[in-house]
Amino acid sequence: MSLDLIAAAILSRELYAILPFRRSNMPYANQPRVVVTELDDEVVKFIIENTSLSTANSLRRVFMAEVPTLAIDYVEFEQNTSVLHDEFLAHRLGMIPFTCDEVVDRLQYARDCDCDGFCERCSVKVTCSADCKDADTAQVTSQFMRTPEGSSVVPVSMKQRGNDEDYDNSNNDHILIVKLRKGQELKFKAFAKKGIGKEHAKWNPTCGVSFEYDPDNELRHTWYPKPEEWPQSEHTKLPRDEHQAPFNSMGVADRFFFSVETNGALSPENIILSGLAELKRKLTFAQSELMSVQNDVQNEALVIH
Amino acid sequence: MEFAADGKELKSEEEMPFSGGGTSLDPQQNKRLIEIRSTFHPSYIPSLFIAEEKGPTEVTFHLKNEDHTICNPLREVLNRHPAVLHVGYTIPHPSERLVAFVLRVKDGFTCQEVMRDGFKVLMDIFGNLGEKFSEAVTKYKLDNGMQLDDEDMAPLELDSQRR
Repeated sequence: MSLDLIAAAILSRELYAILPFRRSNMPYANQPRVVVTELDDEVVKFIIENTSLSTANSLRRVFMAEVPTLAIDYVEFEQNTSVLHDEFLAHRLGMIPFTCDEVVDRLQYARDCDCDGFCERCSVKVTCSADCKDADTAQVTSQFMRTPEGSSVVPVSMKQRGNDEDYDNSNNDHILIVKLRKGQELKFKAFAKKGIGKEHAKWNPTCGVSFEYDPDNELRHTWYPKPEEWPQSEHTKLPRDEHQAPFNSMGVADRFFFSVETNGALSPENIILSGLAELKRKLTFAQSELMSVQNDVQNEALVIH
Repeated sequence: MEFAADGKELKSEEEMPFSGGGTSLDPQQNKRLIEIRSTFHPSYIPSLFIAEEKGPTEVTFHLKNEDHTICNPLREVLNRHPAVLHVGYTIPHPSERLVAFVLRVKDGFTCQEVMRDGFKVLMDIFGNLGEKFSEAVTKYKLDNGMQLDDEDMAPLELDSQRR
């Protein structure tokens, strides 16, 4: 390190500027703390402390947009005499969530698979065959979607709760796709593919990611014309009669309250772990791109024009 | 074998390895190369180009198919890097999935190594968060008498062995 750098560092009291750049010296890379406050098979609530607002926001964005799931993406209709036309039905079918906890990691993206069309490594086949023979209106629900025998990928409403082998899921709320009159028939073959929420919202595994920080508005990131009109948050530290904490000019957004609710496709902990893995994968990819660019630059310099 | 204007051999489409990035030191010269790569470029594979280089200490990166998700933390991390003079990013237009990331470092450092440091620290941070979250989930399950899954059990067994 040059002398003027050291002098400048000492003058500005930035001691970390003169030490070799290591993660432990980075004042930013402090040790975050995670506390899980609630966890069941539908929702996970947790608190992250000692991290920055941008990382917390990145987590929120990743849970919604970049966690891969399975959803129907290709439909071949054999027979459709229902009141809804083909693409209407195909759109509805795409929005049905499928349980894909263990499967989605093993599957490849269909565009990366070297098969011709679809195979077991990149897709899950879904079939349905429904018709109406009696005078009553028949309802075609997600219960009628059939996946290959023994596959763990089923529409979410058909998920086995608990360990009962003969669990009767007729009490579950099945997703209504279309209603059929006597004589109408619906028969199709579809393939569920892996994708992310960025591409289409059907691949979004969350029902909502709630993200809160600074519940008492200490940092004044927002301004209330009448603070008393606003209800207190559940994470507040103020007594009942106070509505806003006094302004803290040196405060930093530090504690983030997350609540991630799943639509059934993935279990809540898996959404979060998968999201973090995706983030690391993106960073690794970007870093390797940077390396290849650097190498290209060096090679470019050697080429004789 | 085709050759571009600057003498670099252009690979045919089948031989091109399936990756995203590449140089665009001079977008005009390498336009053909970029065109080929972006026509069969699926929309969700990110890539990184150097758009403008006013010297090794002042570089504008163009990150394709990226957005605020990694650029905001990266900018924040690099701001705390002692060798950085200026770092910022912008998304020129939301319809185009491109981030212009500007980095200016002190003399004696190069932008590439500083970016690499930034990526490394970010990966540490998110990896750390993942571990902390898994531990927190295990702790919650133990405190509330819930059944532990296979993924939760492994670190716990190590702990008990250590004791």
